[in-house]
Amino acid sequence: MTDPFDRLRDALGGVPVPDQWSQIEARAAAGDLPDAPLARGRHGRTIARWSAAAAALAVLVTGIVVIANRDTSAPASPPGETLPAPSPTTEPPTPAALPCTSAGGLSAVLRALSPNVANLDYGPRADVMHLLSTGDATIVADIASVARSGSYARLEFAGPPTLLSGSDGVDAVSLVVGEWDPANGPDPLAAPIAFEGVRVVTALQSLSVAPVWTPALGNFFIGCAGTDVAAIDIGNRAPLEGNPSIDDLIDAMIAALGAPPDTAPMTPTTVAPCATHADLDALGTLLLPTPLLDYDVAADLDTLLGRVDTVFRATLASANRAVDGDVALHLADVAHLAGEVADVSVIEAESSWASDAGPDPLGEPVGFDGVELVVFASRHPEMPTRWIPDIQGVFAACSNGATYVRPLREPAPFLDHSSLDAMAAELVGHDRGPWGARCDELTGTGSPQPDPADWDELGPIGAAPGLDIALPVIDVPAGYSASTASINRVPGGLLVTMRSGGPGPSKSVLTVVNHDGTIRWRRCLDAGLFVTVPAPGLGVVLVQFWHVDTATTWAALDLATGATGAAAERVVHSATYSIGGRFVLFGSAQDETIDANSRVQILDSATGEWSDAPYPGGAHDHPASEVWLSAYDVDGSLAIGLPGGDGVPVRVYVDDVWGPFDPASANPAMQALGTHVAAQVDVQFFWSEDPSLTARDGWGNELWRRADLGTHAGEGFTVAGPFGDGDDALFLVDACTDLAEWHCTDTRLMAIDAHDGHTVWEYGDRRGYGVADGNVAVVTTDASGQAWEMIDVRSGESVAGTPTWAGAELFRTGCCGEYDYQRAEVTGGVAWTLMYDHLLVWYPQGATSGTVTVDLLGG
Amino acid sequence: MESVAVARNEGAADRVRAVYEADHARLWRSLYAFSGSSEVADEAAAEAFAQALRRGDEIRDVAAWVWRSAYAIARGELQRRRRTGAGVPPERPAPEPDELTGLLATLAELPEADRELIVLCHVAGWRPGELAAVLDANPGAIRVRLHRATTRARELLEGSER
Repeated sequence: MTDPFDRLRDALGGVPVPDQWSQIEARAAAGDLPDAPLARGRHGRTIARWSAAAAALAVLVTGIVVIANRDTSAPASPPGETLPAPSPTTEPPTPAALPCTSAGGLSAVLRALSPNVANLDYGPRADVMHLLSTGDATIVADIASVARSGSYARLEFAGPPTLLSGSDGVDAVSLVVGEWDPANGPDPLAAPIAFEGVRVVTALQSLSVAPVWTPALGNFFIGCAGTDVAAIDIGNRAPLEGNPSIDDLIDAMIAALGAPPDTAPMTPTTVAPCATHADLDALGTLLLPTPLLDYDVAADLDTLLGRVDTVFRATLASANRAVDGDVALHLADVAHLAGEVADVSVIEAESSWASDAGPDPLGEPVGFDGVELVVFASRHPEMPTRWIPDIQGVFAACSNGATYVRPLREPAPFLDHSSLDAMAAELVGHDRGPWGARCDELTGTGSPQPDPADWDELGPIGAAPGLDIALPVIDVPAGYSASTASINRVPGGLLVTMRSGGPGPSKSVLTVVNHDGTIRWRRCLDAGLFVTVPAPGLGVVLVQFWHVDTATTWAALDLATGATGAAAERVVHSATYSIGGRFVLFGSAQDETIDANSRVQILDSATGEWSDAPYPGGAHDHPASEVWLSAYDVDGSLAIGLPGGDGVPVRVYVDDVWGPFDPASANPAMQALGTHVAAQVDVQFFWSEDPSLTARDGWGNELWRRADLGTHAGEGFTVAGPFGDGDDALFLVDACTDLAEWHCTDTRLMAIDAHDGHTVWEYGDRRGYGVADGNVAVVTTDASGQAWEMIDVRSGESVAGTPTWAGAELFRTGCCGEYDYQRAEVTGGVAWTLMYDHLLVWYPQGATSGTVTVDLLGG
Repeated sequence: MESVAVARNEGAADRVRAVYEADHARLWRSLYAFSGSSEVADEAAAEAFAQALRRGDEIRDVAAWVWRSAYAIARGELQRRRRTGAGVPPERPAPEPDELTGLLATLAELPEADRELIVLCHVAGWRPGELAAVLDANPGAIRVRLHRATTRARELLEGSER
């Protein structure tokens, strides 16, 4: 197979590249002074005029500084390329940094690090994996300087170190160099020595006797960044085998983090049989002979299952001593029993062999014939591709069934030891699934009560959340997405949908939590969930499942009981869907081709009534999965649109007829739809054209443009709304009125009128935005974002009688990928904040007394 | 004074032109792979070089500045298109062979930050150590992110070949 990146480069090589130089010169000539924000706009006329004046002033000020410093060669500081500040004249000049660009330079750095300290006699680590598994933290860092700190040489970082494994929080590296003997002359480390281009990778220990991070012997490698100079093991001052550079070494370690174990199976030279109790005893003595006296004893199966990632049954193929002394057990015929479905082929059990106990029986790999295991295993905490068995987690028996089950490590008396079959059956029946706790289905009874009418619109909410719901969390290996949650408000409570992440098969949990904190019902489902659509009119929630290797299907779950009902039968295989207000459209089955007899199914979720409609003629002969129609809720009446390329419908279904979309027609329904589409005002910042805040109606027509607000510097909240209807509609905007190179120096929260763009009110600082609905919004009290208040979006004033909520996360919505795990939402008068493993629910003031804690998987 | 300023700007323009000669095709193709759109590549590359010309000798490392700026512009344009729902259809008739269409579609499945690293390293040819300067980011973090992104991209691209 050709390297995929070679294929990509080859394919791109055939793409013609336009000659843009003339265009570039024309753009440069058309632009103003070079103060237009980097990568923010082509012209930036308004900003540039102000910037021109600022630039002129800057020239004047620079001239004064130049005279004062008598430094006529100092260039103006370009944006993003900050020049070093001049040294105060009262301090001695800083000595030049030791450059690390050659082997000689690296030697000088080494001499500076540990002068007059004898090398210790030890062997360097041969295995990078050992480095990663040793110590409390393994880091990569660029070193800026070294200076004495008592008996240590303290290495300061040039920037934040990168953590490869272990604990975070390493602030510097301290090398043990001993106290300086004044008899040797001036201490060369008395003053800081600066370095340039020095990079290290090191496994560190956090010493209990001193607040420092220091490398263990053989765990500190240093080299010249970005060069081919061989990295040095600082202990014996020797390059490693193969003379890798420091960057090569770091690459190898990074690769090792995701690489398979270094304990690849070797061909056994001997094969041990398994037919009798004596064979099993010998097996135990051979593999894991050392009893463990001090460990955390699991007294029941739930505890044991709770601390491992996976449980499986396997055949033991062979074993050998790994590089670090552990025993590697190579497995075959691995069958999942409980927990994560993991691809395990080797487990590595902690062990050792004393060199004075004679030849190691596992010095050469040993094969096995007829040994079966049940294993409780966890991922290595630092190397997630490697697996370690639990202390109470390896049980063996001979496959002929003639032996008892022998614990190869510590026993777990609560397990059925009569046979491995019995043990396996017990485990399958006890499987907790991926959620870290058992998901037990609960069936609801009775009828949910509708919410009070005054919960329909957001108003003052309580000082504390009414519910604090603990959500199950799935530990997933790097590269996989964690589980996600979605929340819908349903009559009498909230529907919380959890979707599993990670490499295992998809699972879902749907739970309705009543407003009083009780669990109404819970479903534990062996499928992923795409969509949940509450349909209170039908008394159900419609869910779309994703099945491995099969098509998606829809089902209806009763909102009162959670039972699967027949309400979704007519759309069970629907390929497409669209939601417009109270109306939900379902397309034909995904294996169908649209023809004149095909019908779109329509659900009025408020009333529960079903109806249908034909497809437009242009959809005929197309697969159903390719035709997506749009539903419009126009003042409570349904219209269907066939969207064009810009999202605006080109054909519409009104008054039971498909026809061209003509808002100018005399048909009142068509006119209403035209008004409805036009009212979908979109306001956003543009930064690759003239920087501006621009409003467009649903047809794409520009309504207004504000060039005085610049554009926005960061990701996250910029514009929210519209809030209110008709002439009162407005948007909340986080404006940046003075954008520097990479950051904003003058931000403000503003309310902008949706119709003409004028400023309704503004705060003179940047504010975070939490939730808003109707006439109120929850925003941060200031730019620090540490507290929140509710404001009237019409006036910007605090809403009387509402508290200040302290806590940066309480109503925060994360940007980009964090949104899946940290976000605030509101439906009517009930708001909620998803905070990774918790869901806080906020109710109208007076509706609750205190916070009720809820375990989503609890009773 | 004016003649000195003009001379300095001419020297700066020569430096930008030299970077254009050396890097433009590589930059444009990598932007195209990153965005999936020739229009985005056109806009980002042209605007970055134009801004570099305007800034004259304020910029010390023209190449790093242009690459960093071009990707910032491309990211912004993609963000704008996502917000407007415009997507990134190629505005010119698709110049690429079918295989490239598939490869770019596969690349588009990567998170934007990963895709940026992948095209900068595996298309544009920047070495991991150099990427830190281009992206103005921590070198160690870049290496870790690049390794993980490469693993994911390789799985996706090899999967698309089957």
